[in-house]
Amino acid sequence: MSPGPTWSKIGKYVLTALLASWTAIYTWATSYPDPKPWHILALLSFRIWVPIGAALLIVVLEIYLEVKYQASRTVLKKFLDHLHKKYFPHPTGGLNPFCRVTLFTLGSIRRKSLGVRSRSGGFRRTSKVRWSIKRSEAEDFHGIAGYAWALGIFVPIDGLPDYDNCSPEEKVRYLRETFATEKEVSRLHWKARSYRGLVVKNQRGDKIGVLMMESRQPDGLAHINADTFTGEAEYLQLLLA
Amino acid sequence: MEKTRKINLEAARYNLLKGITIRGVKVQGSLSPYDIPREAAVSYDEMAREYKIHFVYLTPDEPKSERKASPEISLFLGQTSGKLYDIVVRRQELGSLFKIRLELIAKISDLAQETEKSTPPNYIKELNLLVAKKFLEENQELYSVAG
Repeated sequence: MSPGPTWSKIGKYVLTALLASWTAIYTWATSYPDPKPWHILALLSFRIWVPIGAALLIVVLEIYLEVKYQASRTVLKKFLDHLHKKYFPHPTGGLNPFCRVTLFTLGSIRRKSLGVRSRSGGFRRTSKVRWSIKRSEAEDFHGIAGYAWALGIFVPIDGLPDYDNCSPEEKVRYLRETFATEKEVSRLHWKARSYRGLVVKNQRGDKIGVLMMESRQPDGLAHINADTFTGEAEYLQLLLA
Repeated sequence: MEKTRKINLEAARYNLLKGITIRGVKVQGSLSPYDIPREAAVSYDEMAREYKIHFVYLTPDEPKSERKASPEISLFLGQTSGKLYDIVVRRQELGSLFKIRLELIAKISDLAQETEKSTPPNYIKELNLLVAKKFLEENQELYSVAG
């Protein structure tokens, strides 16, 4: 369900209903017997502006809700940086280049797939790759994010081969263990060799995303287990509330 | 009159690993912090002559459904996740919880085994029941409530 108070949800439904039924309303107004009352004439004279106005209002309402109710990307990014520095300390004090922490969440429009909401580490902070939860929930897992989402438990995967420098058999193993296709893996800028996936839930207990830790070393996440997140899970929940 | 005792659960002590093999991929999955109880509240209602063990999670309680394990023992499980929220033991004298602990543990164990065989698998429910079982087996403090 989208965030926001009840008035905003009702407003969105009313505007969407108006938009969807506008052709029928307009046809009814034109066929109204003469002399037409003033409100029918007003409706006919605004025939283009009513649907445009409704569509604009929906967009404005969506943007307003996104800004007001979604945790700011800056705060989330700082939190992921905090996790990164805490669990993968680097001698320079900066971010460890061999690890990254990503929060995948459902899209505000694409509700059936997980995309990068915020990321710490790695060269690219965003990604166009999306992992389908619809497929994953049907046990046709899509990516480790989809796998963790579908199982709902803490998922650790270690000891994956170096995809760019391994035998074809090892590549097949990599694809099998990451639940991705060759095409999808080729699009990844970062081919991690170990993963930790934790489903993030909101305060109602509904799944809303997956916190993913990745390392370029096959045993780089050996010290990370479900209990590592006991404290952080609550903060993440509050940040996304 | 109701007597209550609250016991904190250390997640690291009770969380369990489960070997899962799906499509040839082996992982050692475990419960996420959202699904492992943080606290257990044990109470005895003298009027109703019943014990209640309530498990508290990071997320608030979801709608529950009752599962009668025996005429005296009821388990209340989350309707969505299958997590164990409450154990109610009826028609008991004060201090008798320890005597029926083996039966209680066996009932939870049976349900965990039943869940393990179910399709599609519900790993949250299965692991959560095993955590509850471990808690009942290992925590002696639980049985001393008003007993």
